[in-house]
Amino acid sequence: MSLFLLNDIVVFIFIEVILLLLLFISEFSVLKVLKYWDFSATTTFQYALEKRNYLVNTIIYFTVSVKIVLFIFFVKSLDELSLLVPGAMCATGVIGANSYGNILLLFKIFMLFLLSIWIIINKLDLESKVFPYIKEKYYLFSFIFVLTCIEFCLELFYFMNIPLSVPVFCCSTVFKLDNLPFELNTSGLLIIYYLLFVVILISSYYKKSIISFFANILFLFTSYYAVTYFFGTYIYELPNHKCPFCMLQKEYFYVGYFIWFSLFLGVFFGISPYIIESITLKKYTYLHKYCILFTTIFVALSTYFVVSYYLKNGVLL
Amino acid sequence: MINKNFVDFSILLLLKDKKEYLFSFFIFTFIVFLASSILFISDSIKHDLFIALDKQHQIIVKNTKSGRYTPLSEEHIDSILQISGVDNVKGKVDGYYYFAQDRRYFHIVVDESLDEHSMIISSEIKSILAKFKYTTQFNFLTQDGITSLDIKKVIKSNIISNDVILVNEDIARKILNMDEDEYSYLDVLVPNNSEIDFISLKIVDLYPDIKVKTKNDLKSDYEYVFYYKGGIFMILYIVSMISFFILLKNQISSVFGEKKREIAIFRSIGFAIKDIIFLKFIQNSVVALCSYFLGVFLAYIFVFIFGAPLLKNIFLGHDASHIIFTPIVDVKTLFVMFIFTVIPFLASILLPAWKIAVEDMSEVIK
Repeated sequence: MSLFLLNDIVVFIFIEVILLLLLFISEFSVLKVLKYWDFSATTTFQYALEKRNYLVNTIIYFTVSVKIVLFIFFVKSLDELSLLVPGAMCATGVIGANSYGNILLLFKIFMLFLLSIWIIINKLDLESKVFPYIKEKYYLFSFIFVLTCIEFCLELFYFMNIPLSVPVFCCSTVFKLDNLPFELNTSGLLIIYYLLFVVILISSYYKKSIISFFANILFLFTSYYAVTYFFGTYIYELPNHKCPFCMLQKEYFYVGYFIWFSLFLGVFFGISPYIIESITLKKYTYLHKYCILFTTIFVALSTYFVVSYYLKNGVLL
Repeated sequence: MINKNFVDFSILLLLKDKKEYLFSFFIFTFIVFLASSILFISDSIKHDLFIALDKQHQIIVKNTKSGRYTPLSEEHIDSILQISGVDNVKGKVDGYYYFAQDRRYFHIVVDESLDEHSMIISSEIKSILAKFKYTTQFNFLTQDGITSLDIKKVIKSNIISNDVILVNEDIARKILNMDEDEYSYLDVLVPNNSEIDFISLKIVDLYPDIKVKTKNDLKSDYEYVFYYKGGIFMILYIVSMISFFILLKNQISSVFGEKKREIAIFRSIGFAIKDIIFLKFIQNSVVALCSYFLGVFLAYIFVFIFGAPLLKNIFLGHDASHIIFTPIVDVKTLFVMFIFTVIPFLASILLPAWKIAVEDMSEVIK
């Protein structure tokens, strides 16, 4: 019995292969453009290259939209795999079933970040008539292409190595110890969490990209620990249930999707202005307001569970 | 330029050229139809099995001797009851009766509410018995002679009940030739779910020959079977899908090729290249979505109203003519179908759409 016979996995790999093929076709165009691009030339070849630009754009737009859908599908499939993998109660067990799982998940999130940044740079590039960032964006594309190939290999290795007979560890074991980094305790973590939130709000409001960039990266890690070790327990209403994935399940009204997506969107809009500015060397502050919006949603949502628990029961966990 | 008027215009244009899209529309509908029928069948069977599973107790105990199943005795029940955490142990009688005339097995299941002269059968069995003129009663051939039972009621055949005959416990023992203190399997009731695994280990400790299956074991067994069959089908299906999409790409290219002039006119009145690509993308999304919904709808009718003739044999074998499928449509299945079919469809039109959009318009207009 191999997991490769599972409907979801078959479909998933099939679509990933199609995307890889499309990216491969555009990488071919990209290499040509990178090599021969000369905007001042008036040859037919240069015009042909400019037209190829459209193909790459179309393919990337398509890839990003499909990747977002596939990412949700991937997480959902992991949740369902937990029925098949012995010992797994939720996606934690399935992701942790071998050493590729966690890397793959991080990789996927990172890829979505990169692709979205590419789209923004592409938009800036097309808005100006002289294609000012074409080299930068195509180097970035080639980098994305290489990463996609690595991601695909990781996927294959990951699915090939999920054990179906040996029980795996699940959230009750993986997150049992309070192994917060730098020997923080919960209150310290929460102070950092809310402090960072305030820093992000202020830096985004005054459009200070570099502060927002570092604050958001720190916030991403702090939030991961805060949600897993503190806010999660209020969502589950159990002091010992510490898991970032169980909240994605039906029992908790899929609230996990809202929590994690608002965090990722907020962090994305928080860090991308700085990255775009360092590539285009121009100020780009348009996205800060979305950062404020999504980060606020995230913090409000996570705080809501603690407050409502306290109001209902009169005590904290 | 993404606005309502633009979308309206593309759909209007699509309706004007609907003949060109008919080919891809019909074949794609068929592809969606076939794949979703298979998924509907397997989902429905799985649903019935899980419903039946939910009614069982948490642990099922069967006895084996030299690798084959043998009956359990009262002694087993008594000693399993001694394990702390076990609330109740029920001995169950069930087994298979060989009906030689039709060369097939009937599944004998106990129903306490029946008296000694009647039985309940499934509609599948009813039609088999009718072939041999047993319309009101049936004679079981047993060791002690003939046991004759009246048909009291006919129930619908689904995956569980297809070959089932429900009888009284004493009659079941008689038909299956089992003694008073023999049981086919034991149902163990454990009130605390988290103790199930531990208790099943304890039972195996007591009797190393015994096979213990917990509810979750059975659940993953079923999952395996259906994933396996569904997966093999999917992998074979991908091959046919790939050939379809290659065909589609060529067909779309040739259709687009005939429209060169039209597109050149659009370009000359101010459409940008990306607008043309987007226009083609909208048109094909409309085609893909319509075929997707039509295909799923047809599959629903085919499976749940007509009972999926021919196709169901993939899952059930040949003796399943009366099985009905419980109508179950899982959103997840529809989502999987959508990803599996619509995304490759749209992917295969990207290249032709780009090619036609960047065509040199002065050449075409000439």
